[in-house]
Parts: sequence; C-alpha cells; structure tokens
Amino acid sequence: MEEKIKKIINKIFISKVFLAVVFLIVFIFPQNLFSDNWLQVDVPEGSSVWVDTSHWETCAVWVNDGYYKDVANKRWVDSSYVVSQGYWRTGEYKVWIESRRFDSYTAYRYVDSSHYETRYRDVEVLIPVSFIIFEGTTSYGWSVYSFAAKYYGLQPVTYNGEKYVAEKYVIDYRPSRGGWIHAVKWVYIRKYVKVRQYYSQWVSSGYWQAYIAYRLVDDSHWETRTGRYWVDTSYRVQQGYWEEYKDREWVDTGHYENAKKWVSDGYFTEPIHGEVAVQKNPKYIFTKWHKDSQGNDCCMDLKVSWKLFNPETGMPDAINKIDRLYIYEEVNRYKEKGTDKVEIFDGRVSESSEGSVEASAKFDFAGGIESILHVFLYSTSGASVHVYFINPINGYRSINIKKEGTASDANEWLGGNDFGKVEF
Amino acid sequence: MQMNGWAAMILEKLNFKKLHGNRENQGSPGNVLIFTAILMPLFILLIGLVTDIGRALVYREELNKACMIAAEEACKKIDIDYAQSSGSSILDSSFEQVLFKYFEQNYKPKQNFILNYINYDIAGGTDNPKYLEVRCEGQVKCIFLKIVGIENIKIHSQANGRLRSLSRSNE
Repeated sequence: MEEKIKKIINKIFISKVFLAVVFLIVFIFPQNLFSDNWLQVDVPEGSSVWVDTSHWETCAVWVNDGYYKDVANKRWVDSSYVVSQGYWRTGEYKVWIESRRFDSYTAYRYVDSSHYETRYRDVEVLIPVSFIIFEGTTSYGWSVYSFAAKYYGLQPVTYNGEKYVAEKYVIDYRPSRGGWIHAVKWVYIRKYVKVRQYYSQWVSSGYWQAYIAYRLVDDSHWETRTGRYWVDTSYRVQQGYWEEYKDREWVDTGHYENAKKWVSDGYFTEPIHGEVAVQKNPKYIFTKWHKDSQGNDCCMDLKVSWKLFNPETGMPDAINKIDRLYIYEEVNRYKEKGTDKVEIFDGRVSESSEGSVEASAKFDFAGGIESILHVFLYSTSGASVHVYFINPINGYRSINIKKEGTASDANEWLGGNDFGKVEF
Repeated sequence: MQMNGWAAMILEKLNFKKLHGNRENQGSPGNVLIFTAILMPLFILLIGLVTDIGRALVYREELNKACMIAAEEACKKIDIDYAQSSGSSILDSSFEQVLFKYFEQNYKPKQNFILNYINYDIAGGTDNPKYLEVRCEGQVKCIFLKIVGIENIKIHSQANGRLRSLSRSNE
C-alpha cells in the first residue's frame, strides 16, 4: 500500500518537474517554442559593417544608329557618236615624211693619268754607339779622382769629322797638398748618320683626247605630192540625257541616350545589435478574394517592433537609430507561376532605438511555403538589419470531382505562426 | 406499289403475299391499311424514342449542370474566420443556402417535368468536409411513349465538389 502511495507521489512529482521545465523554456526562449525559429535574421558579420550605397546613375551614352534611305539621283548618260564620212580628191596634197639619221662629229674627252711616284730623301738619324774619350788624363787617373767628377749633361760633339751626342763629366779638383787637377770625360752614346728614305708621292696629270661621236638628227618634213587622196569630213555629234536612278543613302541617327550605369559605392560603419519582434494576425493568411464573416476582404495585420542596445552595457544604442523600414513579401505562386512582390510598408519612421510599426496588407495571389516576408530596418548610421520569415498565402477554389468521391481529408491551410522574436 | 428491303421481308415472314408488280394486287387499299396499322406503333415508338428520351437526356444534362455548380459553390462556403485562426476547414452554416440558391439559378422549371427531390451529403461531416455530394431526381412526362404505355421517365443526377488549395502545388 505504501509502495502504491509512493508511486503516486513520484508520478505527481515528475509531472510537476516536467511542467516547471516547460514553463521555464517558455519564459526563457518564447520565440523558439512558439515559432520554432520561424523568424530569421540576416546581419553582416565582423567588427565593422559594409554599408553598400551602390546605385544606378544616369549618364549620356552615344548610340550608333541609322538607316538606309532610298534617294533619287540624276546622272548624265553620254550618247554622243561619231559620223564617219569623207571623199576622194585628186590634186596636190602634203604628206609628212618621218626621217631620222646619225651624223658623226669629233668630240673630246679628258683622260686622267694621275699616279703615285716613288721618291727619296736623305735624312740624319741617331744610331747608338758606346766609347769614352778622356781629355787631360787617362782612365786610371780618372778612376783615382772620379769622386770629384761632375756631370754636365748631354752635348753635341764633333769627333773625327763625325757628329755625336755625348755625356760630359768634368773633374776640377784642387788637392790640399797643392796643385790643380782638371780632366774631361766624354761618354759617346749616339752618332748622327745620314740615311736615304723612300716615299710615294701622288702626281696629278691628264690630257684631252679627241674621238668620233654620233648624234641623231630628225629631218622629218612635209612633202608635196600629187594624186588621189581621202578628205576626211567625219565629225562627232555631242548629245546625251539625264537619267534618274535610285540610290541608298545612309541616314545617321546616332544620338546620345540616357543610360543607367551601376556605380559601386559604400562605406564601413559600426555593427548594429538589438532585437526585432514580429506579430502577425491572423495565423493563416488568405488572399483578398476570400471574405471573412463580416464580408471584408481577407488581409494580414503586421506589427514589427525593434529595440537596439549596446551588447556590452545593455543600454539603448546611442549611435544606431532606426529611421526607415521596408517591408515586403515575395509571394511564390503555385505551379511555378512566378513571384508576386507585395509592398507592405516603405517609409520613414521617427528616429529611435526602440519603436514599432504597424501595417496591413492584402494579397492578390496565393503562395506556397517558399513565400517569404522580408523586413528591412535601416539605421541612421547606414547599417541595416534584414529579418524574414516564411509566410504562405492561402487561396482556394472549388472543383468537381469524380462520382466516386475522395478519401482525402479536408484542406489544411499553410502558416500558423503569429509571433516571433529574434536577437542579433 | 413495289416493296423491297425490310418491309418485304416482314411481309414474307407474316405470310403475306409478296407484291411484285402483280397487276391483280395492284392498287388494293385494304393491303395498304393493314401495312399502315402494323407499322404505325413502330413509327410511334421510334418518334417516342427520339423525342421523349432525347428530352429526358437534355433535362438530365441540365440537372447535372445545376448539381455541379451547386456542389462547387456550396463547398466553397467554409468558415474563413475559423480557417484563419486554426488552419482547418469546416463548412459554414450558409453552405446549404448557397447550394439551393445556385441550383435554382441554374435549373429552370419546365413543362412535362417534375423535380422530385434535391439532396446533399457531406462526406466526412461539416468538421472535415472531404467533399460535398449533391443528388437530385426528376421525372419527364412522356408524350409519344405514353401511347405504348410508358408514362414517365425518371432521371437521376449526382455531382461532387470539394476545395483545391492554390498554395499547394501537389493538390
């Protein structure tokens, strides 16, 4: 019995713990539980955010263009012709006799006989010699007093009728014991010798030589003859007319056109942090062609709230403030019928780090689970936050089916989320 | 009077004399009357088949069209408020009114035709309307076939309608 009571108490305790855990999850991660990560956010990563301000610019571009135009032109067609005619006449007539002959004459030409001639001349050259002549002493005596010898340089000297170049040394010494010693030494090193030198000399010469030359003499002349000759009275008839013809003329219609040019631009700004909450009513959206119980078109009410804060201090963001929102839905139509873009909100809001925007939208076309609602929040610093979620648009029509019917259940509609919160 | 083909064959089977331009039998009014008396019901039967049954077929087509439109329009009457909040389809109370309204708009009462009943059935019930079935019965009063003893021809018609989602490509 006690065991049974314990089991019941245990069951109650476990169920309470379970409920407590569920409530905790609900309060801590409400968006995850209710929306199943329904709301997604797309913010640039990194320490600073690149704000792309690329845009289209209109500029003038030259467009080569033109066309061919048919034009009528005129041209002169010459139909002139020659009338050949004449007659024979008997009498004197002049005939041009063409005649040429060669005449000889004496001409002169210069014959150049300039040439080189070999000539010679006698020149004095120095040849090496080596002998010594002492004056006033001998070689022994010179060797005794050579310490007193002085050099007097090279000097031209004539010896035995020949001219030499010799070094002159002089001893002029007075010994202490008395007397005077004076001697001269000639060291012959070069001798002047006469040598015959040959060389070539250009001699200019020439003379005029007579020779027989020939020249062409034209002695053509008119000759008067007597007989029958042809008198040509032919003449040319000048005539023609203007003919019209079609021509193609290029008409240049080249012009400047305003073309759009993509200009890449942007800047870096501080990243943005905060949270965005989206509230949607109703949970399941239908196209405007379906009426609610009051007979009004079905529509969607949307409330987008934001709160920007400093992630480190938790205080409201002083730099980034939301000043513009752009909300639109890309409705992905069924059976690949394309995408329909529905603009829900596009405008400025008062600058604030915390605020909300409410908008309503009606949809023309139904779209499947690929339909996405985009929310762009733009801050004053240029940064932006992109929040998006899947938002199918339901639509239906009725059909007749086979008489056997169908076992498939009634339609279940797409959607089901009405609230989501995301932090970035 | 020359008779060939199927008429001659019938007469032969009935042991009548075959008339082949026999001068004795030519122009005998009695024979003609007999032939006419025998063939008349056949002609009436043929005309009856063409007119009465043809008329019945035409009325049946009209009834069928009215049933189809009524089923199609009535099944669209789901409770949209409920659908927006729960994502499920239940039929709105006004569907019956719509069903009869569209049936009446597409069915014009005619002479010699009586609409016996019009009925409907919701497969799966109003909370899970798989499809809506509209049935009706009528009877055509015969004009020619009455001569051969057929007073009325009963005609039945049935049409089913259901919703098709425009956001799901596989439905």
